[in-house]
Amino acid sequence: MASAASNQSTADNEPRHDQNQYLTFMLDRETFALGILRIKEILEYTQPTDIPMMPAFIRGVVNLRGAVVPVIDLCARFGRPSAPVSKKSCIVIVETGAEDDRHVLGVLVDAVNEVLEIPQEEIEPAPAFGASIRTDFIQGMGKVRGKFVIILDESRVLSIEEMESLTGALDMRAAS
Amino acid sequence: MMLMRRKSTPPDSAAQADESTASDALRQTCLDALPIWAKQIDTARAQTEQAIVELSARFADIVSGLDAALLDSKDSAATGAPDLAATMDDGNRQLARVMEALEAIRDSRQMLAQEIRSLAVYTGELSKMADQVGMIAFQTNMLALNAAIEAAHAGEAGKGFAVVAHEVRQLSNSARETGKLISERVGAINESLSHIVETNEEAARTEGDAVRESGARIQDVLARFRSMNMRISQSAADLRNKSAAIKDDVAESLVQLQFQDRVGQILAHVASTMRDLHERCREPSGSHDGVQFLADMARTYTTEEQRRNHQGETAEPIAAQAVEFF
Repeated sequence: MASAASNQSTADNEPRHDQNQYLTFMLDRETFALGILRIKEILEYTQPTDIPMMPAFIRGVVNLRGAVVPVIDLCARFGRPSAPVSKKSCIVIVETGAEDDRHVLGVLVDAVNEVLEIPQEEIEPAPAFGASIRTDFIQGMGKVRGKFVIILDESRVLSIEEMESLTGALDMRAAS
Repeated sequence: MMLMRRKSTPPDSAAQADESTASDALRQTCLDALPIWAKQIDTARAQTEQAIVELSARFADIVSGLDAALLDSKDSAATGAPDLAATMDDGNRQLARVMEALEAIRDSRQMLAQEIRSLAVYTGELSKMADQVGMIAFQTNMLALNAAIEAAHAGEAGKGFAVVAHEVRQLSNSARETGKLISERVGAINESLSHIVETNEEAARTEGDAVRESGARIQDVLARFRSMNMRISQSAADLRNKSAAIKDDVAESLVQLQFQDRVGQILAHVASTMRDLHERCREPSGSHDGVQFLADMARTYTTEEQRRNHQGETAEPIAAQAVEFF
């Protein structure tokens, strides 16, 4: 049994090729990437239902097979003006959080590009400064066909705690 | 009257005896002179007659020449002018036919433009279809991406499926490219179609202008020809009328030349009377009866003038048609 367990653990520890797979997408003419294992699916854009008293980076909620899923506008989250919705706009459904505290969120992107493999050795650490977004949002800089793609750290970008605190601040402001 | 006078002055016998020798000499002179006079008169008569005959012949030639000329010009007026008029009408008809043909060309041009415009409807549909191809490609792409995500979640088991998803995505990319190409081509076709329509319309416009201008010019030329033709026939008619007038004048002059007959008759009569007198002068002197001689002479007159002259009146010229022949 022990050997079987150990076998299991070695299989888990081995670098699986799908762990290095990323979905690239466009935001305001910039290419970003998200680890594919956190992504559940991609939806064609549908107008989210507006929720009042929400911060600007929450566009509203969509119905995903009965579940209410908030939609995050990443541009707004990065403190940029939102790009207008086009027919290429998509909502990427992402699962965040630990085993016991999972959250499903939608991410509004201008367009999805492709699913590709970026080997670990092709990923550079985030630069200390000079990036177009907050450094702690960046998991790494992936080299794809000679160009750098920003690999987002979804646990930071889509941090429920941070977003809740922002929403709470809004609630407080509305209450006062 | 003359006879009476002659009777009232008979030669008295005394003077007759004295003058008998002188009378003989005078008689001899008359005998000598009378034939000469008669011959002179004959010569004058013959020369006049010959000249007049020649003159008449000349005048007759002139008249017949003018006649021939008039006939010719009438013929040419009768045949030439209608020919020209018919040619003009024919020209007008031909012009109308050319205009009709050009109108037909313009109509067919318009039809062509219409058909090209109706093609634009098809190209519009084509570009819609190309858009649909693009849409399908986009959705296929989404499907392929979702498939790739699913395959990734399935781990090792999904590896083969990931390859399929990748291939599907390639296909969707190809479809998108094709859709884009179709859109581009349709756009190019639309552009060239509208260019064709424009060129066609421009050509039709220029053509119409040219046709109208040519028509007006040809009409102008025809009108000028017509007025020129009218002037020519006018002057030809004038010429004909004048020629006819001249011919009439000459013909009348020819009639006037008939005076020669009367003059000839008078002169011939004078000459024959002279010969007669000459015969009588040769006869024995006692036998001569002057009264009888004058009476005989008067009896042989053929014209009114002669009779009047004989009676001592002034012989007015009388109308030619009053001549009496016996």
